[in-house]
Amino acid sequence: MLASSIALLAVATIAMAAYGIGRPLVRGLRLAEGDRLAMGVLSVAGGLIAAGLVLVALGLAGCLYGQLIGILTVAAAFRGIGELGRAFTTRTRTAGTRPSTAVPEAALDGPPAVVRRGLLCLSFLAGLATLLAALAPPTAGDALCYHLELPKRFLQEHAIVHLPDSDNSTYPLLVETFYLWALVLDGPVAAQLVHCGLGVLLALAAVLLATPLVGRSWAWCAGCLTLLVPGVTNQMAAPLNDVGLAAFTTLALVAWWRAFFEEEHQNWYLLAGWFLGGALGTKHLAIVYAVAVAAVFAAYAWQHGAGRRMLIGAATTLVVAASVSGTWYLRAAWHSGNPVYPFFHDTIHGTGRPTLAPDKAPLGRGPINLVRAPWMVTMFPDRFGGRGHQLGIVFLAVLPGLLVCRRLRGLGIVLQIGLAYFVGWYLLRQNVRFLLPLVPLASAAVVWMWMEVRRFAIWPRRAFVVAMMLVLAVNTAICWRRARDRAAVALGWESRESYLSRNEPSYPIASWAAALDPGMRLLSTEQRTFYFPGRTTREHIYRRRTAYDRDLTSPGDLSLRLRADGFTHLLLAESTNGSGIRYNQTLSRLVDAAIRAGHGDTLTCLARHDGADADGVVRRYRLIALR
Amino acid sequence: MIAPLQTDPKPRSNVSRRLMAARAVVAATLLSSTRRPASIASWKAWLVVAWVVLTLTVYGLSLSGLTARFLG
Repeated sequence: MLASSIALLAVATIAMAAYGIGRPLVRGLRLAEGDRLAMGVLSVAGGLIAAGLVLVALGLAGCLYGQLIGILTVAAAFRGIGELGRAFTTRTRTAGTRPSTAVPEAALDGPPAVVRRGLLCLSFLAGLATLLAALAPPTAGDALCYHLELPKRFLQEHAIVHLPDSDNSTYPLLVETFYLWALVLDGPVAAQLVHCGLGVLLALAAVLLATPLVGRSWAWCAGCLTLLVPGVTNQMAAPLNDVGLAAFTTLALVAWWRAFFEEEHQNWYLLAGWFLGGALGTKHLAIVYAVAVAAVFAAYAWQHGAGRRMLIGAATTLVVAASVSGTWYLRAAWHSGNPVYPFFHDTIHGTGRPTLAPDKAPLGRGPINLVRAPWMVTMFPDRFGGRGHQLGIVFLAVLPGLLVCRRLRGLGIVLQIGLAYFVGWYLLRQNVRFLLPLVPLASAAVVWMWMEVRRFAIWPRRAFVVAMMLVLAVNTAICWRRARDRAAVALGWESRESYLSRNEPSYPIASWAAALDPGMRLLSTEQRTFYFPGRTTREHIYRRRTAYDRDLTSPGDLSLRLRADGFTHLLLAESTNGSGIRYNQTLSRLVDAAIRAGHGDTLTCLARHDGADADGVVRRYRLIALR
Repeated sequence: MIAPLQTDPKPRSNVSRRLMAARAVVAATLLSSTRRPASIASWKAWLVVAWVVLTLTVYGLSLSGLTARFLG
């Protein structure tokens, strides 16, 4: 329990520091005055991006030292406490956000008390379960491959370095810099909690997005609905980056909406650029979102003769966004000649794996499959990246009902943006977690449908409400089911080591390796290397880059060749059953051949371990020392 | 002690009660709020509910792995 408390304290410190940085920025722009929710959300999210930029600057300058980051964090957190005190003591206007003039009268009533309380209660329960799940040590595959592995490596090097044997090291890594921050203050659990916090920001951003459409009271329902999406809560319990991306894209749209659609203060464009920069610095997918939003608003501007305003706003937004995120794209272009490396590398340089490979489009292509896509993605999410990331049934069940609803000012734009992004998703990579930026948009539309259900006759209305309650209760139950295995470790009833030994196949041999040689240089066929000590290198990319396997004149040269490149140990992995991951066996075959040829003294097997993964695959590991 | 100012009693209107009622009817007709929109046709509402029930049923089957066997 103490470990969990420390992790929570670390994340609270990060949030307070982000608020301390972001609050003066938002106040300086004179935006969202009088709306405490908007001010708080924009300040924390904006401050996080600013802090990320500071960490990137430190990383590029080779100054990523724990003490320095700690001192800066404490200073920013104290400033945050001061800002918070100032916010409470300063008398603020209580008017709240100016509701859109076109919000229907019915929207101003707010949801019935039973709906409001029910949703808040379910959201609280889902949030609590997700928090418990996030307090367990991370075991998500991608997190251990690079979302946490890269920050760990950057801290080891005290710099954001280019790793030629990691394709991920040239990705936009803004959210990973938050994880780096959390690793400095506490460890991987705190990093996981950061993503959990970004999920809360996403839900609050959904409230801000829905407010001009349906009014603040109903907008809270959109926030609750966002928080009850299974894919969102699943991501919140793992240190990945899709929820962070969705939070920043939503906030960018919130700011753009206020600037362009509501024609409020021009400074909103600056904030839109800031958050778009945060999104672009998080994941390449933000480009698709930006293009979708730009296309829809360009059409709107064309229809309403607002082309000049659109151009000025878009230019302002893009300049700020490029300033915030440009570093990552320049860095990728510098190291690989491709700003979005490794994507479209085959198109730009004629080498590498095709980005639009058939296995990335389980639905195939074509307009008919596009029409089928919402049904297929909802009903068979395991074909699109995993059931854990699913969006749930609410959107598919409710959104077609909009056909019988009245038109709502602004909702058409939101739906067009969602559709444009969905088409982009369909044409590029059909992974269900890449749809998370759509969740706040779809939630706002669902809430309008809920409002219109009040116009149903009594019996269909009751049937609809019962169905919704059932679905949302199931979504909440999914959260608790996920947290079931993790509650013991979250509450301190089980040690983290014991939990990891049960749930992460690579952990036992990693902890053994850490005790053996904390400074080992590991060449690994397993990519989930976060828990291994020292510096690790992915074997398949190293082999692709150096072709070491083809340089060997005899099996006995293997150890000599790898030691010459600085490696001290090998980690060989093999999956023995199930239909999950398959490891390339080139290195294992070379090692076995060398041992059979009588060079076993240069390749000493130190440990073997078999571990079963959640997908049922048994992973067989061998740790080999190079002599 | 200063005596409180005496205000005139509320002037009685010369308008008859019947005329006031007639005015109220006219005002209600012309100025009343149209806040309560028309109901959605019953068949449309049931159609929406039927779609919701259908998707929930298939989704439930999907969660239990049955649709993969029959529909997948």
